Amino acid sequence: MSKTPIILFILSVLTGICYFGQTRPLLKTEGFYPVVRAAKDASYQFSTDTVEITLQQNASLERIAVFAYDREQRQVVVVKPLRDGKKITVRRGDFADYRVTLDKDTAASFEIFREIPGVRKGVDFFELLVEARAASRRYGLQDCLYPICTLCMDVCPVIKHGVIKMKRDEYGAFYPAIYLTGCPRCGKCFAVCKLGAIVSVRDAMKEKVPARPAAKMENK
Amino acid sequence: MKRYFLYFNIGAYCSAIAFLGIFPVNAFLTGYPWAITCYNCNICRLACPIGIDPHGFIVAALTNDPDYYISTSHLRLGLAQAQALDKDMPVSAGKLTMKAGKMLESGVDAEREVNAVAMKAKHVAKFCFLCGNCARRCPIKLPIMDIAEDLAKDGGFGE
Repeated sequence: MSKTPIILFILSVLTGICYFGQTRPLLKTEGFYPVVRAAKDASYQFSTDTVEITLQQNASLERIAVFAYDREQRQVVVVKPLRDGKKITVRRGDFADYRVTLDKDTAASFEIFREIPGVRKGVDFFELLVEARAASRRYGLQDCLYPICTLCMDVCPVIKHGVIKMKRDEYGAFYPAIYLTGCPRCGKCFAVCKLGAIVSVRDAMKEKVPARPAAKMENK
Repeated sequence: MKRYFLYFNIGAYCSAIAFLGIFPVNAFLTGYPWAITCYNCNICRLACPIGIDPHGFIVAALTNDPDYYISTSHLRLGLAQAQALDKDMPVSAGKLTMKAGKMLESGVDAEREVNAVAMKAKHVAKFCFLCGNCARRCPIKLPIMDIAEDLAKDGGFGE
């Protein structure tokens, strides 16, 4: 008797076990409305080799995204650790992490940077930040890593109704605009947002999180 | 074929099977049997915005080793924090690359921001934003961030 069908059967059983054995942690959610964290107010001190950024209030995480717009109006971002929960230092030679190309006000594409010595040079974020300031281009801080992270939109059960839309504020920072009138309060968006851009209304009240005003549904 | 060659051949074959068998067994023990289906295409390596090599999480699951060192190209943290996490963590500050403990002993400021060159899987998991970009880019859609989420909870696999 040929061994091929037996081997194929064993392989298909193993594949089935692997497929069904994928452990997916259950998403535990609370039935509260989501709240979007407000823009970060910060002061910037420029010197010859560093930019010292001091936040007005403590950040939600130990790291935060610092962005600046380049000549082609692309958003260039670097993720920096915070000292004492409030201070960030951008040094000469700090390379940017990714760049977002925009189409009008939406993100068209993004590029994650990898510096390969001798092959590809990184974008020096310090120089870009100084250049952005000199040319009066926008720069600042943001919690959200859109378009790299789209988890809130991926899990939203009513995303087709346009409940979550990614917008840019007047400082150029991306944030999720949530239209509460269409929100079913499933709580998935703030359960998956590990960046702290979206929090539950209960946590926001408890921790006194400064929030953005709720977005209003646009007429189609 | 001479008799002892045959024995050697069978012995080597059995050893190789036993060695390779460790990986699926470990993958089942950690709770991520799908990890054996990863074929190391390295697409996820270019997907992480903070420079983590997500394939390292799969290797950690395959070897059931939360202390497996994952390559991190530009994961930034304070030197004191790096030393507190793991004094043997290789870090770089400018052109200087050495272990975090040695760098602190050599007189570099503890407040200095350094780039982690490699970090243990259980520590990297705490830095991962769980944005899911690695899982989205994966050609066979492996839920890599589930491993990171699991490791971030208690530094180990399973409940």
